[in-house]
Amino acid sequence: MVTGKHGAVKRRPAGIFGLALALLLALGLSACGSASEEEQACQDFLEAYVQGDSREVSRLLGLPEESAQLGTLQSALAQRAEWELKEPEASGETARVPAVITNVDVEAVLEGLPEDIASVEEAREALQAAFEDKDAPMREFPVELELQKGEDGWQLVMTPELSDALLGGYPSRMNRLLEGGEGA
Amino acid sequence: MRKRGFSFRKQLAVLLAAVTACACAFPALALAQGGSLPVGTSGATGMSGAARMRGAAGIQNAAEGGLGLGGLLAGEDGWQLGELSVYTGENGAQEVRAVLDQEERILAEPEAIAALAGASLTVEGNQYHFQRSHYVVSVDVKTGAVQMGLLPVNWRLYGEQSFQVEGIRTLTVPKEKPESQGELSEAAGGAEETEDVLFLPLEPMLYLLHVQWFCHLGRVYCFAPAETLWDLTAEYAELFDQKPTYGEIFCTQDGSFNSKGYYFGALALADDIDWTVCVEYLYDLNRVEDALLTLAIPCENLNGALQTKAEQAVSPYIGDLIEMGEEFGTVSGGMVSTLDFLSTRFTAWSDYKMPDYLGPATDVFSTAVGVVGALQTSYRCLDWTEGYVSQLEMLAELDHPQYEDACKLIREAAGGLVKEYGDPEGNRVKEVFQSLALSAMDVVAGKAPAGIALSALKASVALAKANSPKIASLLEAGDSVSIAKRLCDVSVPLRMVYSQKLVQAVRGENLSLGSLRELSDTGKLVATVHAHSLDALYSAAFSLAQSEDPSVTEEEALAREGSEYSMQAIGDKLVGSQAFALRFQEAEQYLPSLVLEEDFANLYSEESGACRQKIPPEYVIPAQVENNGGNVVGYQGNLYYWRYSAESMYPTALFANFYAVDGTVNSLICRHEDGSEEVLLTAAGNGPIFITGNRLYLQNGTELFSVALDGSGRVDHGAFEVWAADGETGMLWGTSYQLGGGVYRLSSADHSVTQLASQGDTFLGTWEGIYYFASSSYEETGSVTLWAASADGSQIQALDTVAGPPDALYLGIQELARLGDTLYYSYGYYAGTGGFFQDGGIRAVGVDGSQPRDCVPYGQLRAEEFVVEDSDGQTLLYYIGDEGRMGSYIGYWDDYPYSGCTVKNLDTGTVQASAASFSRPGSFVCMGGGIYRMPENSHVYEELLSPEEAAAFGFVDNPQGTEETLALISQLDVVGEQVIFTVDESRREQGDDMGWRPSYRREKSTVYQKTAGSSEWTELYSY
Repeated sequence: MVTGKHGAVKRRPAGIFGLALALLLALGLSACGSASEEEQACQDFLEAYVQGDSREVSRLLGLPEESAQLGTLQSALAQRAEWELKEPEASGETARVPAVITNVDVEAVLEGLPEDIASVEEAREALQAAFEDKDAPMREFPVELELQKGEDGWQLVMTPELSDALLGGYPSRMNRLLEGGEGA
Repeated sequence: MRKRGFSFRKQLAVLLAAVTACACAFPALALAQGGSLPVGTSGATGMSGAARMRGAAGIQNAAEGGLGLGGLLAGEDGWQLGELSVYTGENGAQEVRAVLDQEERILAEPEAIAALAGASLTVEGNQYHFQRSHYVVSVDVKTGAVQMGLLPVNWRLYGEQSFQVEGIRTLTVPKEKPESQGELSEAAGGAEETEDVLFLPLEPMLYLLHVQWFCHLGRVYCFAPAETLWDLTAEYAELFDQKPTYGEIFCTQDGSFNSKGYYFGALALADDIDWTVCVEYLYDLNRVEDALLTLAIPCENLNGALQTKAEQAVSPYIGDLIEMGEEFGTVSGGMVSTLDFLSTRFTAWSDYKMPDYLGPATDVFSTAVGVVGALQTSYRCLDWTEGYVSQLEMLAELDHPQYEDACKLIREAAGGLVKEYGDPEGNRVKEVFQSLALSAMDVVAGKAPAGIALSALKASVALAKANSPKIASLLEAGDSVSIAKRLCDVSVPLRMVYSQKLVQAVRGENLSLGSLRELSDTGKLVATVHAHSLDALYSAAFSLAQSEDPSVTEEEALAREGSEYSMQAIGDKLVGSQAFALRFQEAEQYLPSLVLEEDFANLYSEESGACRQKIPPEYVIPAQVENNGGNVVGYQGNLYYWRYSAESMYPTALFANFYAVDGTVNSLICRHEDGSEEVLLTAAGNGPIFITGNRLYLQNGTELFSVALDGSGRVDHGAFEVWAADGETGMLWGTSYQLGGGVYRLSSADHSVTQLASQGDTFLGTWEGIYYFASSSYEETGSVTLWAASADGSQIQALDTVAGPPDALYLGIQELARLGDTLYYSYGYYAGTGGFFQDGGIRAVGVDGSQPRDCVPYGQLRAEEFVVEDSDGQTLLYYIGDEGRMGSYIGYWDDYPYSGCTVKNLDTGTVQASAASFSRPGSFVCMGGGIYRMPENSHVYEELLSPEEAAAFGFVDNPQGTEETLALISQLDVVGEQVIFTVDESRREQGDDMGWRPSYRREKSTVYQKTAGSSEWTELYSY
């Protein structure tokens, strides 16, 4: 199991005790098993996504080089994403990695926007602030990350579920709204 | 706010990066080292016999030129300058300068090729760029290397092949005169007579420019499409920009959001997200099926307030065959052939032939035009209708690795619909098409091509609803916004597939008609899906406006001030998307012409949509002088003639034959096709004009001089009587009194004079490059010899000699005719104050001098005039025998018709009287007040001026000398289709009579010009 937040690596303890502790930790971790290639690919993708590394995101999605261009709001959402990856299920050239992605609950944020917002620009500013707010409402999105084996290794397949998780439930909410005519 | 579709555009640009690497230098090419191109020297033009000039000495001089007239502007290395008749819808029929190289390859100037292709031309050093819309063909005229590509995207096309055009030449040809600015202007002296002109191979260039053409009755009909699929690929960014956005979708759901904050927040996110990274969320199968069902019926909102805008959007791109139908219908065999040539050659839409029941029509022109338009409407309508199933079939196979789940869903939905609607009453569709073909004639009436295209769309709405009532009812009940959203989602993988196919096609990977058709179908589907999504949004937007104000009309709702997501903005994108779909449909016809092969193996093709017929070499009509040696001579579209004044003619004359006064200064005029004139020079001169070697040869009495075509560079040649001008050699044939008689040649190049024969005093004409002349002698009796000489004068042969009876003092050959390989000539002599033909005969001899024989023995001929013609394989000779008449060259008119003659069947020997009329071939006669001329080898007259046309002049067939006033034609020249004639009005002047010969005083002479077949004429001037 690999967890990550903004792609940060845990700090190593300092000093001889730290070294011993580090060695113990390493042994302990290895006793749990190192991350598989599939998990590493998911980890790399998610870290690149939250960091806005368009080159790496494009590569891992199999898109033309640096074609990914995350907008401001999308980047702000990305930086709030956390995830927990579980054991992968590989079968030849494909694999699935169950995961739980925690992200801002976009619907709740939209519902909480002030009534007096009168333009898209005002809404953008308000959303930016809301996404960066440490007290923003969060939500868990269970997803199955799908991977395909390419020439350069495992690549992620952007599924609707993964997309929905990375965007805080925005796509599914809008689809329900448009399909069912529901009020917000 | 970031523009939607940016990511797709950048993605595609990256995909095509490899293509642009080569295109960095496009269209420039590295120039190869090479020698200079061969340059031909200009030759001379025109060869003909001397015209008969009234009053000139030597009245027995040759008749007007016979067969084989006209010379060639030719080079030493096998090229010939001429004209090619072409037709395009934009410029109509016209003649373009062309070169026939090595008797096979047709060359044309770059400007002419550009005009035929509807392209612009720019030149950068050795690079000639032909551009039509986005498509560019660049030729390195030094190496012949050709590159094709697209601007401004700077993509190279057909990159896997290497194209080279052969036969590029720079030739030295006569300079084309610019049009004169004023009515009369002094010509600039000393101007250059020739210029170096670049010529490119015509057919390969048209092929590379995707032009289609066919040949008919000496004219090349060219059709260049307004645009092709390549042009549409260059606008991929604009195509993608037409896709509906979530903002537009949301704005129609304004009422669905509980708060404005939520609404604007949703819009802000919709525009911000990169949807190439994240994917839209597809709901379920049923919803996708509903959305795909809408593709069955064309967008209805284009038939309302948006119709005018839609027509304007597509009008630049819709080709028009109707004009060509009108033009071609005038020369073709009628409606059937018109439609066969046009609708099934230039268009590759449908294999439907013209319905049999249309049958022949009494009015070819309007009906041909109407039916061409009707068929185009029907083809388009059928394409829309039948296209739904093919669209579903494409979607049923949609696949892209990046959108696997979405594509799977679309495949399932589309596949299900194919099973249900795959053959929606195919026979019924065909029946509807046939009836539509008739009714569409009303549909197209008065409509421009774009209107016709949209009419087809409108007609197919009704047709589609009739064919698919279930779909129609589903649409009635459908949720517009949901449909718009689903189609928006479907368009995402579609655009990716289009991008993939576009890259492959531009790179030229396995380029074929099939791959082009796939690209075209995919692009049309992208545009169609966009359009249907926007159509649904437009309906939703209008519904939203009506919910706020039930009385609002569509026009009022459109006119409202809107934000980026207004109904007007959606309407504009709908028009844009549908325009793309129509453009893809239009361009589909011409896909076959996009398949180019570097070895030009498919240059000639009869395939519909790639009609390219080999242009026969004889379609290049050599540049030639018309009526060379006449009083009015034509060359390169100009007419040359002397302009006279009152002093130019003697004031009185017998039989009203007013002679020119030698030594009078007159003006030499060059009259251009547009009617403007310029004075080339003013000098003493009159009478016949010869042109050869780009020089004008003019006479002042017996003295000959020449000038350049602009009137400069005068050279005096002394006493030289010109018989004929030889275009191929640049020589003049004639006789020189100064040098003692005989046959001479005068060179236009260095003005030297060379004697060819010591004998020869009468020129008889030229046929097929052979010059015929006669020499008379007297030794115990008079005799005359017929001679033949080759054009270069190296071979001179006496063909036949005939001697008269002991009392014959002088014999001359009066007229010569040729029929097949046999020459016929009349000989005899004139005497008496009446200038009567005394005696003579007619003989025949082979062109090689074989089998000389009498046709009419000496003593049985009473006039020099005769006609020999082929009549159903029999050779008939018409002549004046013992009917009690005698020929005479003295009279009012140029010649007189004989009514009644003798006709002899030279094959059977039968002789009998005939009521046929005939006169000297080439001379004009007056009959019944009209003016006529007899051609060679036929006794049927050509009408030059009908009696009705000439009634105003009051011509009299046979003036008796008692008329107080007279109107006669003193000169008449036929130059191509132009007839130029001088009417002399004179008054009886008894005091100057000479015995029985009446005298007249000239009062006024007027020169007229008319076009053959027209009843109107123009007065050129009078004096």
